[in-house]
Amino acid sequence: MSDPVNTLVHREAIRELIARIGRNLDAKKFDDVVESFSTQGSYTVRAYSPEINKHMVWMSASREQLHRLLRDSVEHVHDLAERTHQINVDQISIEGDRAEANTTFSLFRTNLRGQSELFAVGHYRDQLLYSGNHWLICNRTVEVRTRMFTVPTPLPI
Amino acid sequence: MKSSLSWDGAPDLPPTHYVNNRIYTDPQIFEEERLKIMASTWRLACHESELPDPGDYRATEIAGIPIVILRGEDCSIRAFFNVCPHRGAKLVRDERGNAKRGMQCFYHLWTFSLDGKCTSITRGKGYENCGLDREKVGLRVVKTEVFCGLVFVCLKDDVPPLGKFLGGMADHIKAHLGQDELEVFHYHRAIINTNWKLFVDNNSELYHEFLHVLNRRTAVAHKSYHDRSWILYPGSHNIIQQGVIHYDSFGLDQRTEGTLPGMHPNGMVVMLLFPDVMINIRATVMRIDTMTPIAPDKTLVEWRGVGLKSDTAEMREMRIRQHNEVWGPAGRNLPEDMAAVGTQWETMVHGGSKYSIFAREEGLKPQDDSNLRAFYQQWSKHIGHSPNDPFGLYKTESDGNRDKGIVHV
Repeated sequence: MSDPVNTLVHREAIRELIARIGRNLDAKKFDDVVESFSTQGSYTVRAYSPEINKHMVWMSASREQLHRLLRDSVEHVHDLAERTHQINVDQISIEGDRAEANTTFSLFRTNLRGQSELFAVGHYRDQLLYSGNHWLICNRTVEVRTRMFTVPTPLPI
Repeated sequence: MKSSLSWDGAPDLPPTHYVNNRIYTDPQIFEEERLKIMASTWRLACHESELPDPGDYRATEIAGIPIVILRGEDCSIRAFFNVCPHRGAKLVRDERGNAKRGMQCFYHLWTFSLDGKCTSITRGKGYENCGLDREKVGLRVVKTEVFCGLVFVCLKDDVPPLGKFLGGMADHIKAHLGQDELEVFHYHRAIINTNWKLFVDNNSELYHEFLHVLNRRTAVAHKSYHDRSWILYPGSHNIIQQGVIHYDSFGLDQRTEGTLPGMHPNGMVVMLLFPDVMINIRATVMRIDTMTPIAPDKTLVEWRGVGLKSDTAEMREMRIRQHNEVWGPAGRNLPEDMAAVGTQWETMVHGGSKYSIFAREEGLKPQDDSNLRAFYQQWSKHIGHSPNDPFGLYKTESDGNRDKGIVHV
């Protein structure tokens, strides 16, 4: 990947992947979200609590567990609001068939009356793998700055 | 179907078996609760593991009053109003920290020792003419007792000791929280748009387990779930006897290893302390809920996840995972609880829903409403109004009498 044009193509592909996951989460296309993860992929939500001075894990799921959670979500009483991700990929570094990306996100929710509010802000720390001519997430850590949620959710952020 | 007349009328039930929903929405009742319950009873403020070292402090609020809880040089835990006696600025402005060298007000730099004494007044000579000195400006002490690691405070000085307040529940707390050193590993909070008692009701009534698909399959569907009883204690503290949860019915890991003190494999226990505390143990992990009512329609809820202090990294990881499966902001159940109590408020606030029914009688079995009825009896004892007809009392008294008996802090 030393060819600059090739590198730009890969960077753009990674940027597009991260944006697409956000769009698919918003559209509740959960199978497509899961397809963006490698078979060994994992998803973690972390937050820091100044109250107890500890880093916390709020969710830790393998690709399979994530898939199940998303599949189960229709059975749970869930938030009826729509969600909109705003995503900005800040940094991408590529080493062979591996890459890392840091992304800043804002997540808005719009209730059934059309009232929108900021739901969460934070960062995605993604580790990616190039496999089968496309990039996949092999580990996503969501570091949430927002710790008070008006509506908690088991859905990925 | 019901007509407007029959909808608005009280249910044809014993008066103990329903409440008027105005107790959830009325601002005057809310203010009376703040003074007569929140400021006048023992309240769980934090767990002692949040203050591991001398000088460590935690800031919180009780009945709207900022409080700082700290561990002194002698390792005792004390609490004070988080208020400088000079001009009312907050002494500590962050949620936690260490003040081993004492607390200094950031405004005019007065300083205070960890036992609440004023240790220096900036340019103190200026107060000599009026006779004000350090002896006269100590911090306001808040009554504090620690039991099994739980730090309780009360704004009122003339309150009976914590042991008397807890009564028979103390033994249950000791059995689960007093056998080994515990540690808080999870903390989060939220301001929910509902009345605090609606969340208490939700935590108290196991009939609400039908709300949760996870609980329907792992608990309610199994006969053994129903073969246990509530134990009710005076003061509206209560515990449901330990039951077994069938995690395998939902494809979740069994909770057979690393069970917390007093817990059977896959066991579950819920303890409720008046007015706002729930201690819920699911075999390997404990959740502690506390509430701070902010307004009739706004409640700050704090959730703590608790494990053993001696946990290995692997064991802690397991507890965190099992905590998060059900609880926490990304757990399966909490969003469902929030949805329920949020819509209740929306129907009650303008009178769409007039009464709530607590009429289940199943001989103290899990989905019996006796513990809810006990809660509202205790509530009534504090507030002086009948929960089923709070405004019937008002009709017979002048408005001026409404404040009668309020304890001002």
